[in-house]
Amino acid sequence: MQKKAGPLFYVFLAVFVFFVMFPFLWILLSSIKPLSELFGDRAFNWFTSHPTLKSYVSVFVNYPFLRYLWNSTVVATITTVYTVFVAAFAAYAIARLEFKGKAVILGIVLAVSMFPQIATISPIYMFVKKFGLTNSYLGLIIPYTTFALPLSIWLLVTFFRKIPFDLEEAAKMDGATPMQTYFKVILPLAVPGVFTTSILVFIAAWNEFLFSFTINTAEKYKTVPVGIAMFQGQYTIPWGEISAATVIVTIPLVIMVLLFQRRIVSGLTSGSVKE
Amino acid sequence: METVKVTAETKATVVPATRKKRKLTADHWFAFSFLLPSIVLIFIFVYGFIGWTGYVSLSSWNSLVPDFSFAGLKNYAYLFSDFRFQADLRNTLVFTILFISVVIILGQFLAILLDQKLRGESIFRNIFFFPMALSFVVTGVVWQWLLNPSTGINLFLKKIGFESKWYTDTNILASLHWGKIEFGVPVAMIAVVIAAVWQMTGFAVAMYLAGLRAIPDEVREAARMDGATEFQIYRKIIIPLLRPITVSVIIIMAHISLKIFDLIYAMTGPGANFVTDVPGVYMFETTFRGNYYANGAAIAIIMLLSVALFIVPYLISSRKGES
Repeated sequence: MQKKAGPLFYVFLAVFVFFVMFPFLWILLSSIKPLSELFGDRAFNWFTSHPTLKSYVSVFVNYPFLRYLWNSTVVATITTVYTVFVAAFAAYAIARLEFKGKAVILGIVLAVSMFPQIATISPIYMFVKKFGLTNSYLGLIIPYTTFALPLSIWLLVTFFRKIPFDLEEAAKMDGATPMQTYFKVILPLAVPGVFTTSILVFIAAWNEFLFSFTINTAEKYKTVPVGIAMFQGQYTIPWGEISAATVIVTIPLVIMVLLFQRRIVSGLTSGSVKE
Repeated sequence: METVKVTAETKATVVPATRKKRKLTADHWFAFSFLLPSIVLIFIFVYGFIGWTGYVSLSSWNSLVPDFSFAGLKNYAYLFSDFRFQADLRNTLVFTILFISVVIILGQFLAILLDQKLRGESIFRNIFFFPMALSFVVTGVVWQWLLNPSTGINLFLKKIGFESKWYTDTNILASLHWGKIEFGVPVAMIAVVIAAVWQMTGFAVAMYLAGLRAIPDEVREAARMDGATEFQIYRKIIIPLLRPITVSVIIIMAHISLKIFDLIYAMTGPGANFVTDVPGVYMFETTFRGNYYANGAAIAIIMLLSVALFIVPYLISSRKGES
């Protein structure tokens, strides 16, 4: 297209950029303002004359926020590694092998990735409780299978499909077994896809709220989203601390989006955009 | 990207035909063993547990003590006559319609803006995409803070003369009596829609951009040759070509909005008179706070069916399109 965008376009864009960025900026400013400037007229000062990191310190000193971060990291990492590993086999079978009932299996997997988790929450709670897994990492990793596994399979199938078939054929011609073909030919080529899938599964597990909120109720095993939602006490809402905690969990995600934006977008859209 | 996919798929159908006979059993066993772990896990943890929820929804288990005696559709009948559940259905309908329409309009508009060979297009795309990576809980908490009456947006509105507690307002716009509830648009729901739009529009922008990039330049060139204006090109050619993407966006946003829980739980809760309550919140509270397991299970099944209503036809039709 030769036509260049006029100034009006930039005005429109600026409005939307403001709409998107405003909550981020507001929360960032709230996190470094002293308590006295959080409410009332002084809330509108764009820059505080007394910036303070008190809220940040308080988040770690008065709340077990470091513990929440650690719990989320452990649960999200193990969930990601284990589901992507299991899913890679299934995705390979669905994307590259010919067998009866393939479409049905893919349909079953896809449907699951859109089902409301809430339809499984009470039996899963009973199950986890029965095996004494409430307030443990395993008690979250097992339920996280329900959304992480279908998501991984779905994303990996689209990535595996993009690998040219010639290579596999060549490997077969040379007498490689399917297992050898999978590990020596396909998997190395699928590394970018596996990586993208891992990022998306990690974000999904990191952000999960419902299972975590229901199953791990002890302070020691709470994850970040639950921690943030539960900052507000019975009578007071510590907005300074909440803002600081929000900034802390947002920054890694912002960095991830900055670094892998292209991958994340193509991963998310390739599964759903049918061209 | 597109061409690779196409060749891969055509080959998939061509190659096995020649070697089907010889490889059939070995390949089958191989595929089976690769699929087995995932299938077992999904069947136990998803379908099995959904089946269990369905079973409980037909039972009389509405106290701490499990009671699996058959109750038929009693729990469902109760829900549909319940004030709170009727309000939930209204809220879900209002939320879904408002949320999806705004996301589609904004998403399409912004994607077209970004497609104009802008300077710094990737920066804008990044910015629009940021909120998408956040959890709904964080979004809910952030917007609760933004809407706090003594700071943020509402203090600003107050300064310029609009003093209203719209985000906790119990008024229902355009209301008419229906069952036990006032049917219409709850004012407070608008605040939730704004937060959800803020989070999800970037996703629609990304999908529409992918769609716009897939339209060959020749299409526009040809229209331009025929003397079409830029506006006409978009209205008559580009936007109709984006229709399949719109269908995907609708499906994705619909399943998100029909099962929404985190955002509302963290942002407003059920609200006075249940003006911002949704089935997910009701299900959670009635099951885990009230021990009405059978009622909770019935809500979960209704949610599941409403999502299935959208995704099953979509999956079937997209599968047909593939073969």
